[in-house]
Amino acid sequence: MVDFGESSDSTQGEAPLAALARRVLFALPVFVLLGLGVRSMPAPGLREDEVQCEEALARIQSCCRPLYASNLACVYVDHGDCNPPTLPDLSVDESHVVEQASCSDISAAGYCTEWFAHEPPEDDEDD
Amino acid sequence: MNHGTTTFVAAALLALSAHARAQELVRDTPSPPDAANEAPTKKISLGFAAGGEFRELYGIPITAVDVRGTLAPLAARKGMLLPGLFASVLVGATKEGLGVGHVLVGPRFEARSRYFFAGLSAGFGYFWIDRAGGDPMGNFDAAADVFGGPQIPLGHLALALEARFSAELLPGTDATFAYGPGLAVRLRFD
Repeated sequence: MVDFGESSDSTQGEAPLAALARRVLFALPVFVLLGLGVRSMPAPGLREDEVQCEEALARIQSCCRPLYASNLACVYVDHGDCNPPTLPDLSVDESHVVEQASCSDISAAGYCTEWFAHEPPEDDEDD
Repeated sequence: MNHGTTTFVAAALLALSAHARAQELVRDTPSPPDAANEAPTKKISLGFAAGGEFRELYGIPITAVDVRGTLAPLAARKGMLLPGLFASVLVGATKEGLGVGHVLVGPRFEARSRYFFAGLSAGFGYFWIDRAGGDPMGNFDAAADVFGGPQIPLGHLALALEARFSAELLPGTDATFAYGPGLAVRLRFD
């Protein structure tokens, strides 16, 4: 167990060290949480088309396993005012269809061949 | 270290620090000349809860585990109402297995009787959802909870079953609510 220095008869010399330890212990989680927040902050804002596409992609991956998703992208990229954005490969409606489809339907629809062009990468020792 | 492990470590550290801070406050605060009838042993009420949560985000079901700590200065009690703070760490997954989580802190207001408690809390923090292959996407999170349940007093402890309903506002391009119920076991130290 961690001793938080509660004993009342501690000497004067121990008190500052114990107080410092308590303050460090108090501050540490704040920094951990801040770090965690920064780490998980790639871009503020969720987009429904991205979330639905990712969920559909996870569905496709689970149905087409062990084939590997290489060609399907669910990232929205804003190219500025002069160029159209890059949209996720599956729209919200398409994602809904995939999420509710059976694995056999997903395979029959060609997702396991169209999007999963090759086997998962094993080693980098091709040559 | 993955997200789940990191968040659980953070929650554990938060709980330890809250305990340490509470003990520090108790020791540093002079006792009133005459305590009230209830005469708590500490000036701070601490609570720890862990349980299951359900959310729905854009119609996608999410199941998760929520660990939260609460801290309330007993001197701030107004009648049955006790204001305090809470911190919550949630880790879960969508139906297809995408990782989901949030970290929240905020104020909490709890009304207590001997065998029941209920209240409201508002949290602010960050919500994220993993991509099928890649970095997570996330958003700032403003959450509100309504909670309540029965409790068994055990001296200066209380063992409680906490039911709650939560709604998390995720602002942005497609602003939405992630909402759903939760159920947790809660241990409180007064």
